[in-house]
Amino acid sequence: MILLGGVMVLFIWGLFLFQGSASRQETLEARLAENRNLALIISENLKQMTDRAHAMASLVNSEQAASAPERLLTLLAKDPVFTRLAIYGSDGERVFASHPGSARPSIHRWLAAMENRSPQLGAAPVLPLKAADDRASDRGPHWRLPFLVPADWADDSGATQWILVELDIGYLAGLLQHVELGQGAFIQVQDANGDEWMRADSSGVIVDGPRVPKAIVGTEPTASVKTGAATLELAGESYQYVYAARPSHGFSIVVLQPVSHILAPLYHAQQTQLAVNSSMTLLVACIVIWLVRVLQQQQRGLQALQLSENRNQELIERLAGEHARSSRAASIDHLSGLYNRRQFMDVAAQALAQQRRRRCLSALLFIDLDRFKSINDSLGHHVGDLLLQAVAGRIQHRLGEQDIAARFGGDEFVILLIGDRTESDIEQWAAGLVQHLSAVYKLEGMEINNSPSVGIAISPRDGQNLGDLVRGADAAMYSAKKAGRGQYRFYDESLNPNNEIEEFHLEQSFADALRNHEFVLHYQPQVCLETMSIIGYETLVRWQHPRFGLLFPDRFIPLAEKTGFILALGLEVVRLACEQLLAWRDDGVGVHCLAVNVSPIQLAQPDFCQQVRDLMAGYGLAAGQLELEITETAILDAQAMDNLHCLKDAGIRLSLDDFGTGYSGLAHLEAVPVDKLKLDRSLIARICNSHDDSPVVSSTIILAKRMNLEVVAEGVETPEQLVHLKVAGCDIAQGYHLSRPMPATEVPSFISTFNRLQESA
Amino acid sequence: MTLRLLALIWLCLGTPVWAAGQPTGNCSPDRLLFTMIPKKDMDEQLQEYQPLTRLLSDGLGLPVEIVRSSSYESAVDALVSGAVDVAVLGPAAYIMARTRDTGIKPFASLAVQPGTYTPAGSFYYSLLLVNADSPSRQPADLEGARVALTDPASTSGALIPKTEFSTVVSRPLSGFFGGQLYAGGHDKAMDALLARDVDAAFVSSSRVDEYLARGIIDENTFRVIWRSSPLHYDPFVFRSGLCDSLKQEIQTLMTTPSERRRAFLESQQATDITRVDHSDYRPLERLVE
Repeated sequence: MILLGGVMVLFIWGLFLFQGSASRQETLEARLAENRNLALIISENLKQMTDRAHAMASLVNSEQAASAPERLLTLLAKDPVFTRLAIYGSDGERVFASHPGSARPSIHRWLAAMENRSPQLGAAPVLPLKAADDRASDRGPHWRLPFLVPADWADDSGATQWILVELDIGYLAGLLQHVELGQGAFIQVQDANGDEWMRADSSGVIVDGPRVPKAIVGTEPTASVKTGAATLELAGESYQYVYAARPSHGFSIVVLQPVSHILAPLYHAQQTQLAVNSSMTLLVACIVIWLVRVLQQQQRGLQALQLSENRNQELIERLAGEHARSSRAASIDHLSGLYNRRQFMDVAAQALAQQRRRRCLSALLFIDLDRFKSINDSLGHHVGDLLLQAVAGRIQHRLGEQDIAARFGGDEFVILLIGDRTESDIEQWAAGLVQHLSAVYKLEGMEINNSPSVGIAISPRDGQNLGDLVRGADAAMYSAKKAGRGQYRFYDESLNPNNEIEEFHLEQSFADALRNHEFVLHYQPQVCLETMSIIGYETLVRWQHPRFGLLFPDRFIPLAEKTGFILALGLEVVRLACEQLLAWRDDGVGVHCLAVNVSPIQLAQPDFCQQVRDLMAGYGLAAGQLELEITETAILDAQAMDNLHCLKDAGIRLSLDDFGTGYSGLAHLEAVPVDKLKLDRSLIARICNSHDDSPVVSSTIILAKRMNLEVVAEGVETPEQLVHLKVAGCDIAQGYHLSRPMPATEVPSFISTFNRLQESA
Repeated sequence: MTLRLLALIWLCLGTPVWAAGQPTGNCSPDRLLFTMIPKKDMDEQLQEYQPLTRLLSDGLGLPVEIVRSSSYESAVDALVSGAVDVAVLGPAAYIMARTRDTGIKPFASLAVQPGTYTPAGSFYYSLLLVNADSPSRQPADLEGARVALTDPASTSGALIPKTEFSTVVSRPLSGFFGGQLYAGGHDKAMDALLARDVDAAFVSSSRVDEYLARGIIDENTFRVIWRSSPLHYDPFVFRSGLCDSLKQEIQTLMTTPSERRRAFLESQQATDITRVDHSDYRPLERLVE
């Protein structure tokens, strides 16, 4: 930008200077041309004047002149140019003069100088040499220019006479009075030698000016006119010197002008230009400065922007760093310095994948500290933390470069072994770890003993993904704990049949199962031993699972009880039973009573009685058609008792299931409004030889009879048991011997078959 | 130029006419030739002298012709050579002429009206003038200046400066002044001063008065640095050998009041034409030497 401004300024000034010199040159040349013309004209004028002298001279011959000078004198008087005339002989002596008193007596010196004249010049009038003038000039300026003209006639001796005519300088000066010569300029009449005869300017004849040096060179004597120019130094000033030389007439007209005066008008214009240039320069400078300032401001703005950008970048980096730090912090367990669970899962998953690609064995070790809780409780959390830190440190110490360790929380540590290890390497490593971690810990001056239980799962054998491995290692760890702690165990398939997975799936599909009516009832007949007729059926719930097939209650009832699903399931079972009863009634199947198992949890629900009653009412069933089988443990709950009484009041019969195995004692029996007792199959199984094999059974039957309760025997599997039970006084029997549980569709055919059998027996 | 040539040729053809010549003392000339020093522009002077020439021609019964002179000395030459009969010369010019020809006689002179610079009467001064804005106040201040003179033969315009003034500054003019310019006439000298071509000018006081009267300058245009001793006004001079009776007649005509004379006097801002003789100009003799 500054460069541009500088260039512009340079250009302006360069142009100015160039123009200045160009116009100076032009002005000088113009003036030179003018002055040359002036010199030429004046010289022409003078030449013509002198030619008149010749004409005048020719009018006169010496004799005539001497005798009758009046004519000549009048002529001279009237002639504005020439004032005097004299005739000289060839020797230079005066023969005649118009003004004898003033005429030169002799001109022999001039004639001597004239001898060198070329004859070619003939009769041209000549300005003689000043140097050879006899007349002294101290009386003032020469007021006359003498011109020598050879006379046409010869004297007595035959030699050429000479006429001298004198030209009034006043006349010549008068010619110039209206000429604009310009200030300081003047005109010279020089002789052939360059000596000055006359000097004048437009104001008049100049006397006593500075001596003008000779400047005319190399003029041929025969040339008619020659012009030229030069520059002279005169009294410290530079002069332009222009001449028109007439060598034939022996004079030159010179015009001199001081260069400063020639250039004076230019000066004014230059001053103006200078002012303009200066203001332009100033303007340019101002603009440049302004632009530079603007640019600087912009620059500063940009810099500030850059600075803030940098700062932002820094902040962002810092933020990123902080984020990384915080996320790292979030991924590191602060206490132990190992990974936390979350980070471990990420990192280990990647490492595992890599191991899989490399087809290497990986091992996941699940470590649980054996007595951590007791140490924490007895010695305090601070010591507990120190212990954890120590364990973490020992683990890290043993880790290989690529192995990953984490603390899953509490006292659980997980290690993923990476690298190219064999199973025996892993086993060795685990053994070493267990030993290492079992060594004495010195914490806060105390000696603490601890040991780890380590479960190991190998990939890809025990699982391909991390979750499976962790579960497997966890299970293995538990088995290590059960085996006595302070040891390691490898994961075993049998430890974890698909149970857990299955359980999980089952749990998830409870709701769907209910919706999709996947729960079905199977019916096991209860036979009256007296009459050997079917008096009712026990309903046993099955789950027709789309994936797992038909599932028995032991597979899902505990789970349902755990999850609270049992309530919905229980009601569903009751509903299904009611539904089936209705269906059989409509179909004319002779089933009059169904017994439904009720979970103690369900029984403890406050509105259970109402729910059952509503269902029965909803299906339009008589109270006696439904029986509820409850377990002994159910009686313990107060709410359950209320429900039982409520149900009893509704007319629904109750039977006590698995009697003989529960927690309750016989004492409770009296408080419970049950109608039947069902003897558990384990009791029945003992009867094999005789009815007295089980005193419990006999006694229970007697007791029940005494309390007016019916006795049902479950799990009758042999005919002998049947006989013995009948002998012992059991009322009803149920078991595989009679029938296994069957679906509702098989019941009608069973009834007819059973009846037929009985009839035939 | 061409006209002159033609005139010359005409004259040449008229040679026989001139062959008769003019004998000395001829009291019946064909004409009277008059000339004057070119104090100012010749055309103007011709105009101004009309009344006089008419007066003379009427009175004498002769044609009176004025011959132009291009310089003081040419007027002198013309008179000395006898080519002209009457000439109005400056005092110094008269003395120069007289030196060359003692037969020349002054016979009359104007008595001028008073002016700022010239008192009434027959005398005038040589003045050294500068422009009013010039810093010079006295003669010594003009050392090295450029000065305008008039004609080498002018009394007030050259001679008196060369003699009287150089005495005042104790140096010849060329040693005192830086440059000298012969303007050719008083008016030209004043013009040169006005144009600031020169720093100072030696001029005749009567000429300055005339410029003042004509309004070309005013009283404050010039400042007088030096004034000479009084000089007698320009004489009317007869050539030597002029017929005495003619001289008488001319003298009478010029000194007798008449209408034409009055008109002439007016043009010259003069009050009278008085008789003079050589004694009036004798003091100048030593100056001319």
